[in-house]
Amino acid sequence: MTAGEIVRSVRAGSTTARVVIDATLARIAEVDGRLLAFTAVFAERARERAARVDHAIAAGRDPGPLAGVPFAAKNLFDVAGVVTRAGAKVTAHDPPAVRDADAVAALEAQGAILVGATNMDEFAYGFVTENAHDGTTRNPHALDRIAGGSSGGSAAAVAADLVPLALASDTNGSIRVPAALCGIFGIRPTLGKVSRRGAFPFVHSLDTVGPFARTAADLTAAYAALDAQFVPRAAELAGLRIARLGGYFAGGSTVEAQRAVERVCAAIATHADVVLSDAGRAREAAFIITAAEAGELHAARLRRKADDFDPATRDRLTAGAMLPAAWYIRAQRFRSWFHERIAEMFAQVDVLVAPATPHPATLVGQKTLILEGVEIEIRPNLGVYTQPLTLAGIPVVTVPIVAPPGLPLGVQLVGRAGSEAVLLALAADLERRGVVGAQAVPAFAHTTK
Amino acid sequence: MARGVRAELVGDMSEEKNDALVAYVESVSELIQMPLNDQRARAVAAVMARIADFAGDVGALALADDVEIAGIFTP
Repeated sequence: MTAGEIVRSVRAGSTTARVVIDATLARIAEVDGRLLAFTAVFAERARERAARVDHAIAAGRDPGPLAGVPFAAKNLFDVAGVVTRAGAKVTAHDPPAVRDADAVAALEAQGAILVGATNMDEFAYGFVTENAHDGTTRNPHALDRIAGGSSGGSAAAVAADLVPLALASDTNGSIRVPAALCGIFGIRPTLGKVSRRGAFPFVHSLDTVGPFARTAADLTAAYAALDAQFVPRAAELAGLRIARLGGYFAGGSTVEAQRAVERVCAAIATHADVVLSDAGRAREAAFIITAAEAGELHAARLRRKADDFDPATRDRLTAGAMLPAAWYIRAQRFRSWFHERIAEMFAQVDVLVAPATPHPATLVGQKTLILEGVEIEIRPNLGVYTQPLTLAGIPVVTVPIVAPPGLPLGVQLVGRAGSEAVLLALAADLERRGVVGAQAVPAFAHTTK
Repeated sequence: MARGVRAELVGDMSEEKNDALVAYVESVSELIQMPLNDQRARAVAAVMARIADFAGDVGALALADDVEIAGIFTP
């Protein structure tokens, strides 16, 4: 069920939040062994929250616009009484969080109910969710393939319909990449729009927090809970100036990835292709800033317990801790220059369209791929289209496209800072017209017992 | 870390640059008290080599335009 359907049923009294939560917990127990989306399930807490929602309804009080909606949260979000692991072993003995992360609290304040924490790349440093400590999260559309990362557990849980909503974080593409590979909607908000308080940091100057959902309406409802200033926009999109990102964004990917973009562009009558200056350099600057800030953040732990780190992240964090300051400063100077180029571009257009990933989900453990005759490394290359936009701090909604032979792909809808409402309305319009949409996953279809 | 460890050559980096990078990793790891065995030193130097390429590319443009850092930490 979608979040909207659950809310209507709970508010109408045709079911209760407790029934919804019990069914969700049972389904996670039944199927998550195949997915490895969850790293913890909070059954007692969820049932207690469900009772609050049901009591509010019984007492005639408004239970909130997300009443009874189960959701999951990437295991870097603080949950009161629980150790925030952020996908790591080295954090396992940290003190438990004393309060919920702001994003968790914001959803629960609207009546939603947290049911569990989800798998991720260690400290969010990756695009695959192949975690040395917690295992590899599988893609619900093909269990031998990756879910993408670093928010792969949250994306897989939503794609497999274990929960209608999940919280995630996006620094270099960690919402947009798994949304694309799992075939669901996701939003990376404008930098600073959604509170990161209680979310384990990765890169202070790039981190954002946002939700996943299977419908644009659900994504909008979840985002509205997270951004107190958000005002939904009616689906009046006439007059929007929409362009396709060419140049850097038009190469280095499969034919299917570019066809996905063409499909969206054809539906919304894009005005033209535009080229974003030095997008490749923007990606490089994002790499440098990421390595330096993350390396600094984890330097003390690396000194004490380097062997407890995931080998996939340890050496990159160590290198980051050793970068010359001049490199970081130059990357930040480039970032200022790049902001100006972005501002110039958005004086000409309102929305940009670009692929989210260069290819669909690859096999678990696969290291390289041949693209346009060149062998590329999959892990870093999955962020080739998301990282340059990261540097600009602008909002992006990823919309799902199903491409032959059946693996999902995503397309990025990119707007100027603060234009989340426009992007969400555009996503909803495309979904209404059947251009984009999350596909049901037969292997995880609900069964009637 | 043993002196003289060679990192895997990355991209089109010359052996001279490669050796300089390894020497840098050796000295910094000692300076910041983050000791590395030979295997890890090689891996770290390989990451550093890639980032060095990026830094050269990004720095060339940022320095040419004399860009100031402004407004990026407080959106």
